[in-house]
Amino acid sequence: MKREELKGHLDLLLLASLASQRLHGYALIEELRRQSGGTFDLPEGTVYPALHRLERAGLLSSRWSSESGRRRRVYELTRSGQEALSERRQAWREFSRGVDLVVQEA
Amino acid sequence: MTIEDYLRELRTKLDVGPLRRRRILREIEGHLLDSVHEARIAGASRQEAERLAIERFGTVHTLASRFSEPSPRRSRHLITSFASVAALGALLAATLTFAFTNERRSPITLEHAAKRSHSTGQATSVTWTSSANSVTYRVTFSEVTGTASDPTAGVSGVTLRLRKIGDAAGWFNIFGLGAGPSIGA
Repeated sequence: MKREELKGHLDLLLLASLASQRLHGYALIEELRRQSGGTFDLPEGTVYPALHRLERAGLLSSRWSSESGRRRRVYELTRSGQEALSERRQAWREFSRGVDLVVQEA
Repeated sequence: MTIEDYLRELRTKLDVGPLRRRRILREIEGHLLDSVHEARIAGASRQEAERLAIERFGTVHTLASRFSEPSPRRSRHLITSFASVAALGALLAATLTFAFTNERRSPITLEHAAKRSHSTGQATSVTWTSSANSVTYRVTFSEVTGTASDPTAGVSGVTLRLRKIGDAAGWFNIFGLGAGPSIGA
């Protein structure tokens, strides 16, 4: 998928991938790649600034974790993050349905 | 460029406070080391592994500028633009053929509607009783097989046509929503 097409959906993808689990950046990127069947191979240079931005917006919180030896910053949804996720899921449903209805072949 | 070079250059370019700079550098260093580790296991040379890992972060200049962006209202912006695009989509869809009036976000599902449909392509009335009221939807099915999500959410007085969402089911799964209710043929 082209970077531009993905841009508006990045926040939703990140929030959704953290919906039920805490992840550090590396695992999150792998998880998105795996869950999307390879469609979303998000570059690190996009993901980390976005995670930081979402954290500053209060939607994510993070802390250092040293599981398996290396210190990694682990992210999770805050309560506002969970609320934002459900709003955006709803917006996404409406958006994708609208687009789908318009672009479908008769 | 080695990881060390990359981080050193990033340190000078990051336009953020000292605490944040330290955190960003540590976090990225950890990630780069993980990437290199994986690539080495996969058989890459040290040099190649570092190059690949760095490449995914992009140029120092671009990365630094992304971290320096002020956070402010962008997230709210996104919701607003999402909503307006959705509204536009719904408006365009108004020329299609599924008519219903929806006074609230009734959780009508295709499954629910399909049970009351007669056959593909035929107009049919569906009565959906919500806790608050009873609304009648007139529905034309162009396809009644496949999967879709709630077709009514938040749209009022709009004409739409139901069809299989197809690939969108995959997207919904990504978001942990499930593929939506399935419709009996």
